[in-house]
Amino acid sequence: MAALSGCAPGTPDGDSWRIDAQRAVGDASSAVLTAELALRQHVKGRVFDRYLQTVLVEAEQGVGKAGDAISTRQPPRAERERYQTVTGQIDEAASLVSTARIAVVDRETERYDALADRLAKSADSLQQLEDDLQHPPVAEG
Amino acid sequence: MKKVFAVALGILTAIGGFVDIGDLVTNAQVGARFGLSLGWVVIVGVVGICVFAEMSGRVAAVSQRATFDIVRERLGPRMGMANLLASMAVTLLTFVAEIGGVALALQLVSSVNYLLIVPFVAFTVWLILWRAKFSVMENVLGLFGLGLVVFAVALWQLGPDWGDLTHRMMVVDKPGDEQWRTWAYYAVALFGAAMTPYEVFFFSSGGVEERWTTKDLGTMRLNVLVGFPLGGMLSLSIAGCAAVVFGPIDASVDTLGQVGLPVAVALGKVGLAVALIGFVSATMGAACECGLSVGYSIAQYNGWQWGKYVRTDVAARFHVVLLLATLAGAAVLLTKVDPILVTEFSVVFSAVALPLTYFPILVVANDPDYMGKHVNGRLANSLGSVYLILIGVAALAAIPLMIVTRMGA
Repeated sequence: MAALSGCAPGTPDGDSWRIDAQRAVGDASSAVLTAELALRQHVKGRVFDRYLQTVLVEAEQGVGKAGDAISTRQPPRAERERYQTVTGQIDEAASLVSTARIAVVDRETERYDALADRLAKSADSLQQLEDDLQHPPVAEG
Repeated sequence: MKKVFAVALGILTAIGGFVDIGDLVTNAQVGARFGLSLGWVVIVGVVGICVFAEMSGRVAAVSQRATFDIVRERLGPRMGMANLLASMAVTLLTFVAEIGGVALALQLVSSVNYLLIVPFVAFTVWLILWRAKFSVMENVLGLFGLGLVVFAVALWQLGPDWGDLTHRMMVVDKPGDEQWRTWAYYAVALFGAAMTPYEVFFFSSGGVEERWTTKDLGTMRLNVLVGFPLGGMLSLSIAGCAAVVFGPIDASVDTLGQVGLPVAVALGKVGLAVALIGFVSATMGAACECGLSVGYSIAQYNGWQWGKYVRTDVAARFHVVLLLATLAGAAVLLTKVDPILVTEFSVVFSAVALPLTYFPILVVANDPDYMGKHVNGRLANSLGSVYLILIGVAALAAIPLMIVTRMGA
């Protein structure tokens, strides 16, 4: 039994999973918002290229960590649908921050504005999801 | 004139030297999440560090002996060892965090991964500890650390609602979406960051290095009572900047890059450049102070020759400790442990170790055999006793809060 429980992830209860999911989504949202803020400041000429690059790399790592933290947690049965939503949105955010980081490393400054807009939308979605995770899933039918 | 210059220089270096990686990260984290609602903890912490730094500075000036040396003699080897182990563990952890902090700050300038910078930083720290004059090290890094004043200017430029900011600082309250236990965890972390033990050991050992006598008591008090509070103001400015920029967008602060962004928002590249100089200097200065504190503690406890004014071949064991501590710090960071996580641990464990660090100082400062007529007065004893209670509460609460809140999650 001990060996089995050591090998397979335990299933947390709904509340515990929701707290972890909220934390992961909140962390991802913070990283996305930071990337957006840094890009917008660069557009206004207020941030150095290398500083921006480091902030974007750190944001990318932050979203990655948030994704890893929740994707390895076994969701309770009732939360499986939201598990897909959470991991899906964090993956999308991670991909977007990576795209922004690539643009920054390649100094494609003309794309920064558009990327910042996309990051802002992604952060909005994540914050809505974070709010949604404050409540248990709505029971079906 | 020379005296005035010495006092001014001491105060400036105390301001620049007060803020380290723990203060930078913790204040920004707290500012983003709690606004200035925990600002009063910084004030309480600054008063506490002033109380005990003044005491240990007075002990050094009157006895011309360092704290550990007297603690072992006055309280016996067992208490001395407990004092040594507690403060050493925290100081080593802080040393690792500071070396990591310098590397992270240089990463922001160069965009080179901090792991590649760590060996260079460790070598530079060791070189400074080995070769640089004590006064040059303290003054140069302290003065460049003053670059962090840019956070106060940035906060002014960001134009917050000052009434609201100060009101939040005066009342014990928290944002609605935060839990009280998380609030309490960060209160303990801020307290630990403000009262980091190495600051007191470095201050008193530095006094012995600079051969303070009772004539220097006035200068020492000015440094403590003006320099540290102004350093505390820098901490509050960092928290205020994070509160104004990150609070409204509901983003948390987890990296050093984020800590500097509000300055860029307010003052652009020039402000950011000054902040970066401040980051590098403050963390480098703190790394040197921590490294020296490790060497001071062990050498003083064992009765070895120590200090930067002593020839290196005479204080060989002291310098071996400095070298080993620096190597250990670099080795820990090269395991890829997150320097910010180490910083978070260091401020919490700092709170745990506070009683074992500060209780012996209070005892020695009360002993007329060592202190003569400069023994603690009523005010110092009252404040010291009140702070020992606060320190005890923080020490007891630190680990349970860390576990219950999962490090403030």
